[in-house]
Amino acid sequence: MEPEAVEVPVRAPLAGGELLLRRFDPDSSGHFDIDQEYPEQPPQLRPKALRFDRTPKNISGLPAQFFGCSVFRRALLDQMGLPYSVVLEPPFVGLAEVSADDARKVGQDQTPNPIDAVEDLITPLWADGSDLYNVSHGLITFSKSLTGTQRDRLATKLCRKMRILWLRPASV
Amino acid sequence: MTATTFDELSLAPSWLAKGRASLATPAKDWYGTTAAAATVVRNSAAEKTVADQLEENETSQSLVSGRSATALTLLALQSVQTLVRGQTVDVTPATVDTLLKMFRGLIRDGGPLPQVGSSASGSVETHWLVGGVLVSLIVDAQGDWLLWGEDPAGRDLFEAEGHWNDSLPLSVALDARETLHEMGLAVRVWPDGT
Repeated sequence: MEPEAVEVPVRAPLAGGELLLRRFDPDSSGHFDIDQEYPEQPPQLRPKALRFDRTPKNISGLPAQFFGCSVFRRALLDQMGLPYSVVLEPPFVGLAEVSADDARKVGQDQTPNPIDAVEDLITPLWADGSDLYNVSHGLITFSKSLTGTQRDRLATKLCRKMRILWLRPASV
Repeated sequence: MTATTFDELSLAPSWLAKGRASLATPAKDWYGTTAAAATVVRNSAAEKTVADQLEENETSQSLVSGRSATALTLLALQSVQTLVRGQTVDVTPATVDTLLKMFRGLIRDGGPLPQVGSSASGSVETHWLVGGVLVSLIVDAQGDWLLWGEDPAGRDLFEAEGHWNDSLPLSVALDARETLHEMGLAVRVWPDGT
């Protein structure tokens, strides 16, 4: 069943040059495609690597909801002096990067552009500061006007814009 | 009669002759793929896995190493079955029907590997990726589909979408098959190291 898209409340758009980090599971073959001509190059992310921020459809009978793709804003992590590895959460220990502009380019041939990159600060909960990185949380949003297959296509195009930084950090 | 749709085209004797000449694929494989896929579905219904079938088939390894259309289709269907078992995709008989039709039309001897996974929306998404060229087929739970291709620079090569039982437009079918054929020629490695 097609999950019902949920319109994300209006949030401030991110500057085009902002670099956005996305974590993924490097041990899941479902998160990658291998290029059969250039296997020595980093694999290409698949849409499943963008998928796990939805409400799982099999939890508490809740319908699946599509909020967009969670990312972390590299500039804010730098400002806080946090290493990028702080956003990793096993098994999602791989890291990919895309600029806000490149994310928007994926939908630029449609009016209005169904893709945006926006602020989405999550208030830290822990006194020890272990989740301070959530201040840098952002979203790449997909308009709910898209059909499921159209959204899937744009998600794949977004994956192709993402550059893999790490398959896993040296310490993992 | 002039073929106007993908289905009509695939059944036209003149196309089979043209296909043999242009893609060097025996006509029997066109139908053989379909027959093999149908067998997979029947056996799956009887709780017999594709992996079981591959194990039982003494020639399966040679089929895979030769990249026959039949073996490539079986591998794709095996991946679909794995997704279904993992409950990571929404699959119905309409989904399987569309997948079989599309695989029959697109997968040919010597082609690239179909890499099957779940889409962002939980549909079945099959990718072929060679030299940065991507061909993508998305099939949802209603059997609705979207086929598109993109070059390494992100320029669209072709695109078509339809509902269950809609035929792939002829021009897109030809573009997709030609693209996949060229991708197959550029394959340098196979995931198993061959």
